[in-house]
Amino acid sequence: MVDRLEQEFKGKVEFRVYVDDSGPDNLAGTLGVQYVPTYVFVNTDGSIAQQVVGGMAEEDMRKALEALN
Amino acid sequence: MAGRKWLIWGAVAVAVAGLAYVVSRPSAPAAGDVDASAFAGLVADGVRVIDVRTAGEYEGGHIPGAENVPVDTVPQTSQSWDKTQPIAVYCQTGARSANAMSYLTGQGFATVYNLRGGIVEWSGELTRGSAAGTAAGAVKIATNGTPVLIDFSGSA
Repeated sequence: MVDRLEQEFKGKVEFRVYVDDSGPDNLAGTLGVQYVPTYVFVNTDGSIAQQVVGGMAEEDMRKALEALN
Repeated sequence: MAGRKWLIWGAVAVAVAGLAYVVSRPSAPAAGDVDASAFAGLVADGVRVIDVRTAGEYEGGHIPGAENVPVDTVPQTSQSWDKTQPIAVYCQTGARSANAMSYLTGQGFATVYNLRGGIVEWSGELTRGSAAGTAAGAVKIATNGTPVLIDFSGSA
């Protein structure tokens, strides 16, 4: 599902996927991520628009991606 | 004799007035779910208020003075909090903050309040604006000129 949306939003939203990894500089710790999956939606200015813990429906994720600015 | 009688009646009147004051004076509600009116009293009393919604929800409107600590970051962020200090939590409808209250109580926090029904029940003043300076707002992610989705997945 994420792969599909990555193709759909190619060039518009950058997808960074961290599998079995806390990301660069322990980003998961910085963001307080405790559970997987966790999705963090980030605006162009770097501000966090939304942090969702747990699975998301494709349509909900699409709306969250479209809402980013 | 008459003077003594008046003295007794006077003492009775003072006792009754004192009892009425004790019964009617406002006091802090018991910890747990509280309605919006009681929650407003806690805010007025300067109780530490935690908004456990997302940064985006917080920025859309929050109770003045509330700190933004998204519910999934509560376990980490609350490690530095004083467990003897009363804490009042809220979210949009009361569900996420009920989980936060349950977690904090389980961790030994003495007095935790939850706004029953969430901020939708709140009729007081709201502040709009950035969560900058709070736990969520302090984090900035480096971008390459486009929005980013960060996916922390358990497996490929």
